[in-house]
Amino acid sequence: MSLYASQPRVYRVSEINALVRALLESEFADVWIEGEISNYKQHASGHIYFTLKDDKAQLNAVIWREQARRLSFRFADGMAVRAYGYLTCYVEGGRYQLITTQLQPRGQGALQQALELLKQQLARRGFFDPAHKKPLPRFPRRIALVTSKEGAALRDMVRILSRRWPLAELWVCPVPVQGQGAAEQIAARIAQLNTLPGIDVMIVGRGGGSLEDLWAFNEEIVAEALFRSRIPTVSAVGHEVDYTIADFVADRRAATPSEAAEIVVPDRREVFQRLTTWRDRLHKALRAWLTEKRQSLTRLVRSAPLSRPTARLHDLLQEVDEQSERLLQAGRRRLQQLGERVQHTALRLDTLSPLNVLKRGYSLTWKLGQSTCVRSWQEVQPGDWVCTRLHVGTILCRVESSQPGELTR
Amino acid sequence: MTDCSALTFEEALARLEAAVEALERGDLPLEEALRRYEEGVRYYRHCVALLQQAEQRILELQDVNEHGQPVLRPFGPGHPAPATGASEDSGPTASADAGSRSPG
Repeated sequence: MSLYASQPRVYRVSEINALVRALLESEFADVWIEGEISNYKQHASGHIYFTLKDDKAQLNAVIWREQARRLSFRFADGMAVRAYGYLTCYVEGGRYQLITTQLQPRGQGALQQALELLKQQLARRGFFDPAHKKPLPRFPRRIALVTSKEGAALRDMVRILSRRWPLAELWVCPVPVQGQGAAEQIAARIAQLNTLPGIDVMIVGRGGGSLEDLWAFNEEIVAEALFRSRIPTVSAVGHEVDYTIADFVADRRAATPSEAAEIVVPDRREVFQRLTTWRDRLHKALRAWLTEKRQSLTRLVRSAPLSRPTARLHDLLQEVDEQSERLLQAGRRRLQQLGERVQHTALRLDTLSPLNVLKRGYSLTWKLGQSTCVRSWQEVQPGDWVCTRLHVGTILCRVESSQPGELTR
Repeated sequence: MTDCSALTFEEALARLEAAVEALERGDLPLEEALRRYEEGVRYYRHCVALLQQAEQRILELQDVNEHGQPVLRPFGPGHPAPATGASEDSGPTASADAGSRSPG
């Protein structure tokens, strides 16, 4: 191909374009180009077309669908970016362009802008909707920790979870929390955990870092995995001031990994105190029940028509009182003793049961359909049906007459 | 006597609460009242025992095998990640293809 050849080499347009294309593709097989985005447009096919420009020039660029889907950021016109790819020539049109395989925002401003764009998009899709937030379990039995195995975040969480609630089993699910592919692996872990039964809650997070360090937790793929998780999720990314997309999508946001550990489990000591309250209520309820029982026994004694058995009942009543007192004192001491004395008292109480009084020839009478005993002649009228409970069996009776005092016939 | 040793903390606590509430209603017959009381005491003791005896179990989820079962191994300072990624310790499921996925 000499310029001084006798006969000039004449190319067809498609030939020269193909040559230019080959030249560009070999000379600029991998280039980074810095510029500002304009004319940014995602085609229905999924390909993204845009122009990279600086203050003097511009360059056409395209991102094919496959790469477009893997973009970690959302872009818009005016954003400063750094594009990576290769140059080629579109033979038919004779235009050259950058086939972009990676596109990154440049500088804090652009990162923030990208973040804001994704946030708006996810908000429109309902990802932050409070209606989708799942409640956390009160007493989780198995907790998954999706974080880096080496990080301080994991150490902090394990320490706090062990101190507060050692009843829970912890499943450490190691993932890279920054760098290429981190978001994909975090999302895959979240999805993987959702295929397993018995996990009550998961914490997804890492310690603090720069906006770039935390970026995996700002990616759409992680947001989607959190949104789809049927296991309740708690995000725990960075320090108090760091907010990521994951924080908005997770069912609960913790300011730090340590706080996440405090959110997902109760404190053993507080639960212990609550248990003590329930125990006290249990004793109190039994005491009230015994008091009530004693009073009804007193009524039984008072209503007894003869004096001799009454003395016996008085003795028994006193015993119940003593037993009750002992029972309750024991309750304040040790539960072991208490349980035994309850059984003991139960036996004592049983001897006082009205059914045992019946054994000695007394009977109980009540009006048909009523639950309380007839205690006075005034409670029944001739013609009423009454039931009389004997030691063995029941008699159905009809009242002929009723009167104060004994029957005289 | 119902055995409560298999109950989870949450279940035992719920039953303790139920026993207390039943007893507090005060309308139970003798046998029932004492039964509920004794049950309550047992559930309370079970809860306390769970709280006092619990020792945290920490496992590393390495992978999920082809049967959908988790591949686990003990996790802790004494159990560094094996370089080969193969599971050395016995977990609930024998590790067949546990690849090490430690972050870089």
